[in-house]
Amino acid sequence: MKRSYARSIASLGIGRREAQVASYYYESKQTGEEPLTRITDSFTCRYAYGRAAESVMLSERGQDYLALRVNEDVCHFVLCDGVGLSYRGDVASRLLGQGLMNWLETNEEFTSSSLERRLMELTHEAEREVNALSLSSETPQLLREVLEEKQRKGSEAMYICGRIELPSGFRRKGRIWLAWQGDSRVRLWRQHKEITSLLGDRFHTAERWSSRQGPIGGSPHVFSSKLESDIGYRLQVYSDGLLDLDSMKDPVPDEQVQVLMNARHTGGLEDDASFLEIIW
Amino acid sequence: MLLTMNYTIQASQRTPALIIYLIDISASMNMLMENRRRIDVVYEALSLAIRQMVFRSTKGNRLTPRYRIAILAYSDDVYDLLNGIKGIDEIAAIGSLPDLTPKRFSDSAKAFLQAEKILQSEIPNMQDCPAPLVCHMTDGVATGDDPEPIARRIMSMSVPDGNVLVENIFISDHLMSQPVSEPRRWKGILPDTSLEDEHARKLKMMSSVLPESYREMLVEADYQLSPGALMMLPGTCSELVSIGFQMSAATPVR
Repeated sequence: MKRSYARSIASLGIGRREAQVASYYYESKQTGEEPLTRITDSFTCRYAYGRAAESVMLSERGQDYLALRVNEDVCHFVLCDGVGLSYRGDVASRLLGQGLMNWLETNEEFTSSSLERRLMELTHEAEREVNALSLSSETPQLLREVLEEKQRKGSEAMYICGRIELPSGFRRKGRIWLAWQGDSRVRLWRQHKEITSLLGDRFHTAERWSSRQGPIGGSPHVFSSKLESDIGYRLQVYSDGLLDLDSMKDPVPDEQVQVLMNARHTGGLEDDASFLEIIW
Repeated sequence: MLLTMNYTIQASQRTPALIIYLIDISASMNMLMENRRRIDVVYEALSLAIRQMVFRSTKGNRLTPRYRIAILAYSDDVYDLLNGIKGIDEIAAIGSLPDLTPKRFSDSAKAFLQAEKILQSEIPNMQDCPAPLVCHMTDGVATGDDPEPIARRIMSMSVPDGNVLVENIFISDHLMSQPVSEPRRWKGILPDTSLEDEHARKLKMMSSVLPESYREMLVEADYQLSPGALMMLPGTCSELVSIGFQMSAATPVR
């Protein structure tokens, strides 16, 4: 993973890692785990990344991608979940995640159509990269045929991305903007009351981004809202490796999130798992 | 008829699905269907199902053994074509399925008995796995003992995911009162569908209800089977035979 600290890093506590920052960047490394980490400043963020036990055992790349940037009173994030049945879901997940993160940081127009344009632009580079991947000469014929068929269809990933702006000297009210395709989880609380239903029943497994076609299964879903001042919000996003969180409405202690990430009760994670929580 | 249970556990390397194919290789399998021998249509459909399993088992460039398979061909005897249960990765490494050569009779009871033995040995170690499935393909009346009591014993075996599923593909021109003109629009055989043939009615009693999770997989592949349809296919054309074998591999995967 990559991290950068602009101002200060506070402490690494026992059992959890905590940093106090004004500017912060994290990008998951798909070849390793990230224990639950907490940063605090204008936003309090907790994040963690883990690969499926099978991938850890075989030293394979995870198919999730998670990135977060906090810059003063603005926070951007991306969570992508590569589609295992597509060709090299880890590649789509990384390319899409990096592309969206860059777009969030440089874009000024946060609309469904501008996002859709970006998602189409990203296919050009992604298609080149996916096509350039080659198979080992030792790949059995039947597997080779299937993988080549998948490669022609492209690499796919589901995603959630967002931008949160706090009220500032320039903005009387803050703003949240979220976009997604797929069934990764996004949950939102306002003053301890879950208001996820505002996002609608719009999380569908068949919707995703393809390195070949851009958005498939439908257009990106977008949610945008002004934020009340002096009211506490909590946003949680996680991939389907952490479905145990679905039933948990109250804040989950760090230790408990780490227990879910370790998944010792099942001999490790059954699927890749990414977790991000932003509180402001 | 047994109730449909969850059938939601995904086939994975840690929790692989077990599919046992029982393939009738009696002499009548030499008869023609769409200008090809029935046995060749079946071989092609089974090969396609194996390819589908490979498709659903890749992660990165690797084939994960999400499926375990046994293929029992039967005539007057039972022939274990893979010499036991093999992982989909092992089958892909071999490259092609063993030949299916028609012989004489059609003693399906012997094949179901052997499947029952396999299940008795495997099920204790499959408590976290998807419910196993027995896919039986035949083109005629069984010679030998009645297979139904054995099939019903198999259907009463279970793992937490659900009872063992039994599917029947019956290659026959005289099964349905109305021919299936558009396989992709076909709603399937429902519990109240009347069948023309006595043997078909017996096979219907030996067929599980299609789990909703399997049905969703088939809907994604553009087949429109109704909720509550049975796992029984009339093999009146090669496409229906192929749907039957695809159904057998429709275990949920991510």
